[in-house]
Amino acid sequence: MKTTLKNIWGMAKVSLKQSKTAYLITGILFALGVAQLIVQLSIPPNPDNQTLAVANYLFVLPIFIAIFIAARHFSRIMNLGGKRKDFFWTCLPLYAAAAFAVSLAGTILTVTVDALCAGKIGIMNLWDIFGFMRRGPVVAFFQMGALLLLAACAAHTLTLIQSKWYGYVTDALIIAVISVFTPIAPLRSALAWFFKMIIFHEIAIAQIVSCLFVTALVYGASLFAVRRKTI
Amino acid sequence: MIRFDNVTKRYGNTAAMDGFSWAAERTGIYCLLGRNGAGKTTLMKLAAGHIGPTAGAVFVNGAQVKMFAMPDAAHFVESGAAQFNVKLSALFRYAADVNPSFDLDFALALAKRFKLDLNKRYKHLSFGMKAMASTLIALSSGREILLLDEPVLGFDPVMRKVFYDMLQEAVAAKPKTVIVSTHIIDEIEKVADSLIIIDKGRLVLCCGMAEIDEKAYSVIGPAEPVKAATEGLRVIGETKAGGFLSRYVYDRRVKPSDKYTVSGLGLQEFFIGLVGTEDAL
Repeated sequence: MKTTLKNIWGMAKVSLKQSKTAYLITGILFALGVAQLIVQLSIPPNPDNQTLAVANYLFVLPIFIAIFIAARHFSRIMNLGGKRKDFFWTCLPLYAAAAFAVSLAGTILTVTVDALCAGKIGIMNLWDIFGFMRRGPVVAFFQMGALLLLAACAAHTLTLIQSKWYGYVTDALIIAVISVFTPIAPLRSALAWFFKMIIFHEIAIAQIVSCLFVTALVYGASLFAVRRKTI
Repeated sequence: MIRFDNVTKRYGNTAAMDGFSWAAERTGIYCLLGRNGAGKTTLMKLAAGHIGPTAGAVFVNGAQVKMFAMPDAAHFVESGAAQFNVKLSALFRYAADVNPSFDLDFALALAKRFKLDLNKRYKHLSFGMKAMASTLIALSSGREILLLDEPVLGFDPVMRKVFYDMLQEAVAAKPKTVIVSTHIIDEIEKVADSLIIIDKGRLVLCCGMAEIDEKAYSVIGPAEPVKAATEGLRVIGETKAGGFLSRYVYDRRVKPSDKYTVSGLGLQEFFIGLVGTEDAL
């Protein structure tokens, strides 16, 4: 019953090969982003024209990978002879690899494409909006990687628990937290504090540690679902 | 190897297994029989760790089966199992990736024997071929315990013959415990070593096939001598036709007599006699 690196690597390989839908969706969005950028650059340049940075379209990749693995791959992997324990230990490093790969690609695009377009058109880039680029591209890579990992793990856990009563309760709780916390000032500040910790914190290491801490909690919660999920 | 200790499994108010205790201690092919809803699939899923018991415990090779820590030794497959929609050759490679003990060469050889087109995508296969693909994945899994739920569902007679031959060869080549559930009783009785009959989540009978040959028989003749001969024996069913009576017995043999005829009982008649008497005989 021991989970070995061979098991994890084998399961990760199958999951990545079978994530073609996630690659396709990301590819289409990225291509549309590139097309939009080209159009913006082709017409007379105007810095007031705002366009979303192409790097941002890549964000959907780790999230869609997580959704498809949790929703579609689980039963199929079990039917091939996989084990729940191996599945649990495979997904986290897989999402980490996807998150940091996207973060790397996005950071490179930010420092190259966005820099080339600067002054010609206005670029909206989450790397800048979140303030990650203030400390340079290397730190930005780690900050965005940690944030994307958290997003992927949240998508994974939420997908796994859907169709169960505790999934519906969680969905209702999330909606309730957002709708109740937002209009009430003290609760809104708690929500703002949470987002500051995982996104906007001035100290990069605090933001990264916060993301990894919440990731551990969220991913740890998926253990409950993996144990019970029917095959 | 496999042990069920007083296992109960409930789905809502329905008990699929009800205080079920049983152990398989020898390798070989076990024929698992039961009517629809008797608990066959539940039994297999419990042994594989696909589901957990409501009460009691299941052990595989001495270790308690848990849903998170599924037993390494067991592989469960059902005929309608969901699989990745890729070419069969890729599906077998996936199985080898996911399960390091998977024997890819063996799987490819079996696929050739069954004339499975390895270049066909899983969804393009017929129902029988899909079942065959999942069964081949189980047979090649390298695991000591195979739990095959209706593996021949959708197979034509030729495929079933090849499948049973292959099953015997696989067990002979490398001893393993194979539990096969099926409703095609006449065919499995030729290859099974042991028989498990369950009904309403309870164990009705567990014995070797030789024991069935020896102890299951019918006594046919005029009612009075048949009744007298079978008195005190375990009569599992009976039919009447005019003044003649046929009694199906699972017990020691009666003494031969010219007043009645004693003949062996097929597994199907035996099974129906044990679990289906109220509406079948």
